[in-house]
Order: sequence, then C-alpha cells, then structure tokens
Amino acid sequence: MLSEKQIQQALHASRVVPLAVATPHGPLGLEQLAAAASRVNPALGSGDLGVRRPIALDHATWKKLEQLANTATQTTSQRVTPSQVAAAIIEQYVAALSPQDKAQE
Amino acid sequence: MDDLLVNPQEIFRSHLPVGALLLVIFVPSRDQDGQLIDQEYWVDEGLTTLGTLFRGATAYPRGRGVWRDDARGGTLLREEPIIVFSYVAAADLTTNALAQLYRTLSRMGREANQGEIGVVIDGKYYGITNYIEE
Repeated sequence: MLSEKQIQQALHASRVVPLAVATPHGPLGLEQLAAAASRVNPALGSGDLGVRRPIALDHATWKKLEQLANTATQTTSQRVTPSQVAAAIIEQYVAALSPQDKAQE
Repeated sequence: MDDLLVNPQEIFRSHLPVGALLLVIFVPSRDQDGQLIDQEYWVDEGLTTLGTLFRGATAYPRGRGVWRDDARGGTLLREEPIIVFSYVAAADLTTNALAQLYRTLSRMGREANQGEIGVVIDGKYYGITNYIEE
C-alpha cells in the first residue's frame, strides 16, 4: 500500500486533506463523502456559491486583472481567474473599511 | 467453527483480488467560470480510466443541487456533479496506475477549465491544480 506522500507525489497533488467520514459506502455514505469534499473544494458541489452579480469594467481594468491573475497562477500554482482577483480585491477593500466608512455607504 | 476459516476466493473460485480501498473522482458540471462542460464525456473518461486500471468503476449521479441566480432574474441554475468511484485492491494502487490516473485528471482539469480536480483515496482528499501539457 502506497503511503499518503507517495500517492500525493504520483498525483502531483498540491494538497491533502483528511475527510472525516466514517463510512463512505453506499449511496448515503457517498453523499456524505461528497459533502465533505465540497467543503474542502466548494466547486465540487452545490455548496455556498456566494452572491453572484455582473459588474461592468472598462477594458483596461479587465486587462490588468488578467495580468494579475496570470501572475497569481504562476506564483501560487493554483489556477486563478480575473474574476477571482476582482472578487478578492473588492472583498479586501470592503473588509478594510472603517465602521464610519461603511455607515457612509 | 472451521467453516469460518475457509477462503471465500476458494469457495467462489475467484482468482482476482477484491478491492477494498475506495477511490472517488468528482466530475463537475460547470467550469470555473460557470459555463457548462461536456460532463458525460468526462464521466466516460473517468469510468474508462478507473475500469482499465482497477478492473471496474461506477458512476453515481448525486441528488440534484440548485441555486438561485438573482442576477439573472432568479433563474435556477442546476449543479449536478457526478461521482465516479472504484473499489481498488491495495496491490493495484501503484505509482504507475496513479500516474495514468493523473494524466486523465490533468486533461480534465485543463480542457474543462477547472481550478482544482479532487480525488479521494481511502478517506483523504487530494487536490490537483498542476496540469500537464500534452
């Protein structure tokens, strides 16, 4: 039996996360396993997708977001999209606002 | 009590190993930009790969998920990830077999525009984000 490290290397996996599912067998067990996996990787299931809104950006801004996404993809080895960069910038900016700033929104 | 000590493989005249490790791959329905992908094709690819490497595989469509997209007038968008799984004999779980599995998953990640491909082996989630170019 291969070790966790050997499996990770063979699959070129960037991370390994133990799933706390005692009996992942049968339909209910597989559902439980899938739910646990979707908590690790929300894209795998119908987990919390957050709020989705289309916003208008000029082409130059989008181009910069694409450049930032490319840089992030190269440096983190995670595939990053311009939309994800835009969402991260907005979330960080809003989170950093003082309560007074938020009251003026 | 001697009856309990017999080898089931002898009784059933089975000469093939019985898989005991659960290996699961998840085939998403959408790419990371929310666009539908050819899920049926990737389920077939997953079944073919697992069947070839580990002697058998099953696709299990999960209960349907749904989410409301308020930006599109409350349109209900459906998420239907499909689980493809196999019970693998420990002796078959080799680095060579996993390398072949990685090639299929890497192609799915790249061609279906996925941020991360997930595999569960024996209760552990392995996240794959590095996709090879072929």
